[in-house]
Amino acid sequence: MARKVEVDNRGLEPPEPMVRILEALEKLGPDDILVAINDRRPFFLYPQLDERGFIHRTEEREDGSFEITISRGGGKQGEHRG
Amino acid sequence: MGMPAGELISANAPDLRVPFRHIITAVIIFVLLTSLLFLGQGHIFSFYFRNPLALLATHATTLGWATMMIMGAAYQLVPVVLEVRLFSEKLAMSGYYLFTVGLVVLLAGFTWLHIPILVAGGTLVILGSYVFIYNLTRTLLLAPRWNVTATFLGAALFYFFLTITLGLILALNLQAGFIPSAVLRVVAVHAALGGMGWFTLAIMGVGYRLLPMFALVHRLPNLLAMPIFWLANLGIAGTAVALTAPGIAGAGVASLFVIALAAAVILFGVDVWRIVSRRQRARLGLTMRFSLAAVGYLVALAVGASVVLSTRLSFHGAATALPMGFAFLFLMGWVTAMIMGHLFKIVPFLVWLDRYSDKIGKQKVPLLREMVNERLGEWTFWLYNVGVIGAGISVLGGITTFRSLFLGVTAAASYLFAFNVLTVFRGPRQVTVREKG
Repeated sequence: MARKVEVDNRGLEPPEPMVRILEALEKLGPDDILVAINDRRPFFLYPQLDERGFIHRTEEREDGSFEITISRGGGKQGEHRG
Repeated sequence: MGMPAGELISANAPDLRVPFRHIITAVIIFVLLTSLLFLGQGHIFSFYFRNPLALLATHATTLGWATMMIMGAAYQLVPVVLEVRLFSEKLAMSGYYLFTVGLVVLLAGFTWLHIPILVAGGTLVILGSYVFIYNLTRTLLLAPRWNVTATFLGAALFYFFLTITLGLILALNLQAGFIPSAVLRVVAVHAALGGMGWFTLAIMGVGYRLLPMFALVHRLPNLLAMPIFWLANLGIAGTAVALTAPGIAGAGVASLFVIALAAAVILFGVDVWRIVSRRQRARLGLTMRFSLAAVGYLVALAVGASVVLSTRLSFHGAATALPMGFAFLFLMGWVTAMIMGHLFKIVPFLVWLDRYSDKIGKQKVPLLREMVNERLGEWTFWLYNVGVIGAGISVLGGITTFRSLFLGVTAAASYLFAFNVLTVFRGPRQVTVREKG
């Protein structure tokens, strides 16, 4: 069954948010979704997500933080879902 | 705007070799520069007009150290901050070579005050700088969203263009002598445009982005940034016009422009204080300490300049001591302390990112704080500031005995700094086992 894994990175000093997301992704099941909340847009994370074949979407939340939704891309590298 | 641009672009930042090359070159020049200030101080601080060693030291600081560093940082930071790709990585590299070769020739030209060498080196430096300005301007124009950092950097690039162009005109004037009279006024315009227009606006713009990030202060509205921007521009442009055409703007109007500049500086100090006082961690990191010290120098200089101008302060040797002391404290205090503080964060972060970002989650990676020797950094902080404050006061007061001691301390601190920053490239000091989970 697909799980939704949440990682709250607010208040953490870079590069800790990126480390926590990438570590959590290593344990992510094939149909799972990871939702991370960051204080800032994780610019340095995106190249890693693309390289590792994840699909991701970033949305700004009402309080000014950012929600990044990440899932396995089914082998298709570098594809983004809108 | 349903879809933020951030997700569309992944690897915006250029190859890390671009910033690394600039940073390493600049740090090497910085060490040579503090050594030169210590060894050549008798000549350097004796007089400033057409003093070869003073010109050498000033341009090694402004072009070789500060401009080189800002160029490298901008190539890395602007694409990340503005979510665009750098217009051209190739141009960035060729600009670096033009600028660096030109700089070596230019500094040789200053040392012997040999005008053809000076003009040849200056031309190469200018070509390298134009390449940078063009590359960065094209990048800024591609930005999907404009912000405070871009606004400050855009204006700073314009002032940089004016400063170096005027610099080449001054070099040509050494030979031909076509600037009718009062060359010193033109030199002052060159210094004001470079110091306040280029360095100060660029550093403020970058600071508005990086200081909140390093202090972990989020969603703090930049209420003062734009008033500061317009006050500073009014002050810089007005001062430049008042210096060029004293007939148009009298002394009273001119001092108003200096007051506008001082107000911009003090308001920026208030903004930095807002960021620092809202920081998430109780302890002040190296970057924040250096930044606070840097802003302290700038505010002190702004207040000092206002006092000197309004009271028409004069003492024996003031005509040499005041410009020399102000220039020293401005470049080694404000500009250099700010750069040093940011390098203590930027270099470990970029090296860490370069080495370990593809290994995270797959194997143990070092912690960021293991990349740099913080304790040594703290020693460097105290030594450097004691050295610069002492040397600055010595230059202002013409006290040569103490000057020698304090310039020695400044140089020693710069060696510790260079050692600390350059050894980051060799990898972490010790790898602690990372606690998982």
